[in-house]
Amino acid sequence: MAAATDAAAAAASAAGQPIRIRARADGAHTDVTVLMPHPMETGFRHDSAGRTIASHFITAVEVSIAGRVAMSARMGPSIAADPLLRFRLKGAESGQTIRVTWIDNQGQRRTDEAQIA
Amino acid sequence: MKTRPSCTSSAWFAPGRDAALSRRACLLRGSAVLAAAGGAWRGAWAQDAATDPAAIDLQLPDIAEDGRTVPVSVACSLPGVREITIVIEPNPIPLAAQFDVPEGAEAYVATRVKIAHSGRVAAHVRTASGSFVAYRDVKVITGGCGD
Repeated sequence: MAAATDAAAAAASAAGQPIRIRARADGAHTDVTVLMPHPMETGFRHDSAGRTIASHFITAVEVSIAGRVAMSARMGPSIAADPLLRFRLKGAESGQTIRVTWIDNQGQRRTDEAQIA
Repeated sequence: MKTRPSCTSSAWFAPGRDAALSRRACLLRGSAVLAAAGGAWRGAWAQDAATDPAAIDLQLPDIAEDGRTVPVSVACSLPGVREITIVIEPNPIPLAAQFDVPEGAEAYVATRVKIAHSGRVAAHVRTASGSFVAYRDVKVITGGCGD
């Protein structure tokens, strides 16, 4: 998947990187995979000059389907760079709109949408 | 209904917002948060959380080659799951993520976490009828929080 490597390479401009959403209704369940390109800096790392790299990580994620909140999460910097979330919903239908929003500790946010396949 | 500590407070997740902090200061703050969180986490949650490895399926590799990205998944067969929390005990900021599980969602989440060094990972599940926790040890070859 070429997009995955693109996303990893461009983590520096994470706020500009689209969230990748894959949602597939499969009978009773809908499997959802969300990948949010983001550096997820802990604030503990240093650059080559010894300066601390400022912490920069997603603090909250909300997933809604057809306008209703389907999953929400709070995160810390212990989540790996380019956070991947996978979860399973009941009752969602193919064709519905799934919307994902994240907010980070620097106040940036991003929202993207996809259709459930 | 017992009041839970304010685990949504950003202090849990973001003690090191200050970019100018030294690593040592960060670690100290991290451990202060762990201690603070530990009070809450062991006090209000884990203390009355039944250790129930059978009901909570916490999956992660026994040996993580690269601590920067370790897949973790939590599934729970108990009814009425409200919240799933992943705690990486070796990390300076152990609370990795907390998922609200609304009606209509299955109690299953998977993500990827950083693990600083070998230690224990906890999955805490809050249900309508109580709290449960499961632990797994992980051996980390290359730590995931280094500089």
